[in-house]
Amino acid sequence: MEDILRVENLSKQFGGLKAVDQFSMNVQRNAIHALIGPNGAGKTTITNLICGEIQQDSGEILFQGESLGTLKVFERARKGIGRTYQNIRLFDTLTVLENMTVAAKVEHSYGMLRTIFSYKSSQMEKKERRDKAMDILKYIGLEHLANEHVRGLPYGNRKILEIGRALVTEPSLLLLDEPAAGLNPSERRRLMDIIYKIHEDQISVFMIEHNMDVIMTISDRITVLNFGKKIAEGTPKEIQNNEEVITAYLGNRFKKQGA
Amino acid sequence: MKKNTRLITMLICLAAALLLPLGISSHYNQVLLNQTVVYIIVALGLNFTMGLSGSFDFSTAAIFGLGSYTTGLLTTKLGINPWIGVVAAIGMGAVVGLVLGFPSLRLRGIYFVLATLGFLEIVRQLLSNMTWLTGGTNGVANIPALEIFGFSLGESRNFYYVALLFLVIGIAISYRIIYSKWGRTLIAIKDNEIAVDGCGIDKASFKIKAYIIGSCFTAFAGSLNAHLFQFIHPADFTFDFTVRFIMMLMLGGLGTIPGCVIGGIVVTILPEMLKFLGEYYWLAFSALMLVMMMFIPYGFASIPDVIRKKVKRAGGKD
Ligand SMILES: Nc1ncnc2c1ncn2[C@@H]1O[C@H](COP(=O)(O)OP(=O)(O)OP(=O)(O)O)[C@@H](O)[C@H]1O
Ligand SMILES: [Mg+2]
Repeated sequence: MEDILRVENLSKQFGGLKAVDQFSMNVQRNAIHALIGPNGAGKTTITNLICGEIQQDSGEILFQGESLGTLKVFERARKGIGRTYQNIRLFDTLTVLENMTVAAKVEHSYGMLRTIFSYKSSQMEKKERRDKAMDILKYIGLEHLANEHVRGLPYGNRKILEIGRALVTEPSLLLLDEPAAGLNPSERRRLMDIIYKIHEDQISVFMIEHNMDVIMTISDRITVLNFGKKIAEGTPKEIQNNEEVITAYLGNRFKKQGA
Repeated sequence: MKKNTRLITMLICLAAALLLPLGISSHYNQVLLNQTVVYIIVALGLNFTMGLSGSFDFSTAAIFGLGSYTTGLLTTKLGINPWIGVVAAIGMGAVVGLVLGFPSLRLRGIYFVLATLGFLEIVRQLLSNMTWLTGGTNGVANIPALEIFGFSLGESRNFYYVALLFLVIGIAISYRIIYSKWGRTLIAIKDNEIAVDGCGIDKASFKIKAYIIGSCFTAFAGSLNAHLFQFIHPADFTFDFTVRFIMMLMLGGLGTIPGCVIGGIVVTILPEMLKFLGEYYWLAFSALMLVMMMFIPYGFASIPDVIRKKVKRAGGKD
């Protein structure tokens, strides 16, 4: 199958620290691809490189066959790379619905003058944004909270809302940085259902995650990172049985979760 | 229901504003009232940058001054119709907003703040030193009054009603912007710039346009001011003049229209009411400001919300 994302020999150094070291990876279209590895392995750094928040020292990132070069974050997002953040980044003083309408990709997007002087245009755009936002809120099951302020939302809903906000930009690749972290088992279930739905709707998912239940259940392919280097890649089964991965990362995890 | 309450409140305020001059007998107070209306328009302008997207903007006095000088010089030196001078001032606001905002708002936040500070000083220097054009520290005198359908706005009550009309238009434009994608996105930028990028939004373009329209408001108000006093002087457009408007927004409530109006009224009129304190009036005013900001950190416009929450909590049990 065709690759939606190709990462080639990516390196990024912070001071003397090689956070990402000659890292290569292909994410297949419509796959759920997971990136795992110990704390500080460089997973978030890779996500930030892909979406353009930081620039690599060397290497290349190709999205849908096209080099991303030095495109800015918003330009990459417009090309179809959506993301969530390890530390949730919502618009706290806006409502749930407004968080979505701001991000919504719409057909009719009018300039400031037209917004001021044409009531009709401005209402039309508002309606299109609202409809689209409500659709996605229903999709993620948060429509009943549409008019709540985000600041007061419980943690689990905040995480889910962030996924919704990424979806409303109509990404073809969704980057999720530890979506299950801090969720309780029932919220985790909800999250997995949503990720599965996204997957069925032909959006490719690239996901960083520590929770092995989640990873082993839903991912098609797993890449393992340690000290900025790729140490393994394969199906969940292959990864679970990989000696090096068990020593570097999995061993103690399974013990912890088994206990 | 809530929309109705808002509309009724607005109509009551408008009615009060229309009747207000009838209760004012002294010329001095009427001029003060006129100035208040003009300043609220500036506050609305500053609200687009500082109020919504949250970036400090020190250029207000400079842009207000340039608006004043644009119409002041055009009308006195070239004898151009004052209304054309006013339109030219708005154009000046747009150009300055673009030229200053375009490069600096694409960079990190602090560069814009520095650019506006630098610009403030440059304008002040130019206005005082380009004597051949601006009259230097003599200022520009004999600026003609505005006139409409044969009514001179040199008569201060006439000026008031026309300025009030402009203020209402300014408020209407502000509402359109604040409650559209534009306003929401600017607030989102204040909340979390990184996430705005991640949503595929070109945040610089939002900030630049907000700054341009804000500058148009400010320059427009500046031109009204020139025709109100018919005299302008470079020393009027300095740092403390900028700070006044920042105070208005902070005191009234950042990002809200009632905040601009209330802040504009309080910061313009309160110092005058304290003038009986003689040379201490500014000190007293500043102290009062400080106290108010401590007790109502989100400004006057937030008071109804605070009360609503208190009432809700008090009766929350059942
Ligand atoms: N902007 C930065 N400046 C300096 N060092 C950084 C920066 N970002 C990350 N690092 C360092 O790079 C290394 C990799 O960080 P990264 O956040 O990518 O790890 P991670 O795999 O996401 O870890 P975690 O599982 O804890 O989220 C860490 O040692 C981190 O301290
Ligand atoms: Mg991380």
